[in-house]
Amino acid sequence: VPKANLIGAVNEGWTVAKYLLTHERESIGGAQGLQDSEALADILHEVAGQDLDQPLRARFARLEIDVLAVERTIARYVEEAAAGGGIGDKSAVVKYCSTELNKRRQTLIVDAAGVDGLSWATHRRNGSPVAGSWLRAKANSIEGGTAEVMLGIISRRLLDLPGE
Amino acid sequence: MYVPSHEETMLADGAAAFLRDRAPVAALRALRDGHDATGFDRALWRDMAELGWAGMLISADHGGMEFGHAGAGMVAERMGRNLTASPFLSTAVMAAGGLSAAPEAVQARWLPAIAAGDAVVAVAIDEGCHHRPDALAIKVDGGRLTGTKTAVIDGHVADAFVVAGPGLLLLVERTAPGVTVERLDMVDSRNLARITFADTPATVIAEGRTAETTLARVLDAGRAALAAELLGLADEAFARTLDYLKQRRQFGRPIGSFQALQHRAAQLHCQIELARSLVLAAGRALDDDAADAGLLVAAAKAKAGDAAILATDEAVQMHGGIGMTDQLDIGLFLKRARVAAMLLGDGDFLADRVAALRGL
Repeated sequence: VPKANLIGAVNEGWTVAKYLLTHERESIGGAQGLQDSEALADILHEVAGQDLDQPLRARFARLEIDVLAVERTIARYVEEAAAGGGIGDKSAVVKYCSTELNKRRQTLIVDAAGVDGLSWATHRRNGSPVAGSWLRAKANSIEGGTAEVMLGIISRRLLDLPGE
Repeated sequence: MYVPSHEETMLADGAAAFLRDRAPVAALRALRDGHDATGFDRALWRDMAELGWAGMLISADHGGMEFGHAGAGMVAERMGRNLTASPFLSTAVMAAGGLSAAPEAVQARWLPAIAAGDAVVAVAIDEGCHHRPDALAIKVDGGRLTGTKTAVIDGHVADAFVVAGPGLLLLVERTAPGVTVERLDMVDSRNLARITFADTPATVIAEGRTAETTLARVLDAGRAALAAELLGLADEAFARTLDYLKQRRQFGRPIGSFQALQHRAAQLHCQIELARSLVLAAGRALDDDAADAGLLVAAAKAKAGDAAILATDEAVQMHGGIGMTDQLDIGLFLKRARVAAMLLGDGDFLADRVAALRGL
């Protein structure tokens, strides 16, 4: 590899790598967690019909509150980063919250669709597979740093808790 | 939108310094232990009014500052950190909002007195043990009011009441005939009362559609301020817990080095961060009169309530046995979190509202 291809300074590879990982985390948090920006209420109506039973409606509401919260948190961090300081280790908060959120979201959609949601044949009107999306979401909290690694970053670097 | 303005930063820093000095947790303890008849310090409230807090949501015409809901939230958040008892929520946030729909003579009588810190005005909404503002049944006949209101914040020391009825918003003076006041003895040592009206003369503030939209605005303003208070409370309980995790040693090392506690602390941090974003977004949405303000306020209070309850439950558990004692302030935070989360709609009520506003 020619020297000209060196990214950053010599012996600062880990700093560069951490920066890239931060961005991978954000893009997984963003893309897998929230890019599916279609309103959850509309998806539930599509797969379950107009009458959702009360327990499902209550779970929807709790999830929707977290959808709003994660969207606003990403917007806040972006605005704070623009005002100076960058997003830094707060990307671990975004990654952890948005991937856990997407897993809950896909689980709720399967539950709303009932046993049809667990058939390979069931697809949404936009073509996406219901069961396939639920299974794919399981990887969200593994790829780009597991949920446990994110919690470790938050506790050590944001909360300054002592190492083992 | 999320980064505070220069004025807001000055307000928040000023509030933090003032409350740390004048109304820390020890002040609430003193009110509780002295069985204080008022439930807050009137002289301190006048000093807060001097700072402009009592008139934050009152127009300049009536002696207010017009600082807005985001600013009111920043003050409420600092009050939450210190468990400060004051009529800020009842009078400055809720009653001021209700009275702003009143005929000019009523506004002129009450709003300047509120802004000056001289008048305490309570808002009476709930009629049963659950918050059900859409099913009010208090009787109004020929301008006279009969029935009972409960969970009236600062009700036992109010000079007047803004009373919500079916399609009506009324003003009742404390000295009017037929008014009975009973202070409730709450776990958080803060003020709630049950008020009974018996053929009590009342002045109409607003009727019909105006009454409904005004009540909705008062509720949203109150919920946004409670959400901010809960956020501040959660922040402080968590900060104290983190200090303890770093300092307390077991098995030869700080307990904060154990992964079981680290991951729970990290999850709690995430919940508080999520609540913080919604609290800010809700305050801005109210100030902008945004179409989704009601949705964001409901989400903010539900999230901040959950975060504060989790933060204080975890605070007790992570402090261990000493966390159960009255020697530490943690128990005071836990009790206030529960009451503040319940007032003006608990998590279930607010989640139901979010579902309804999303068309489910």
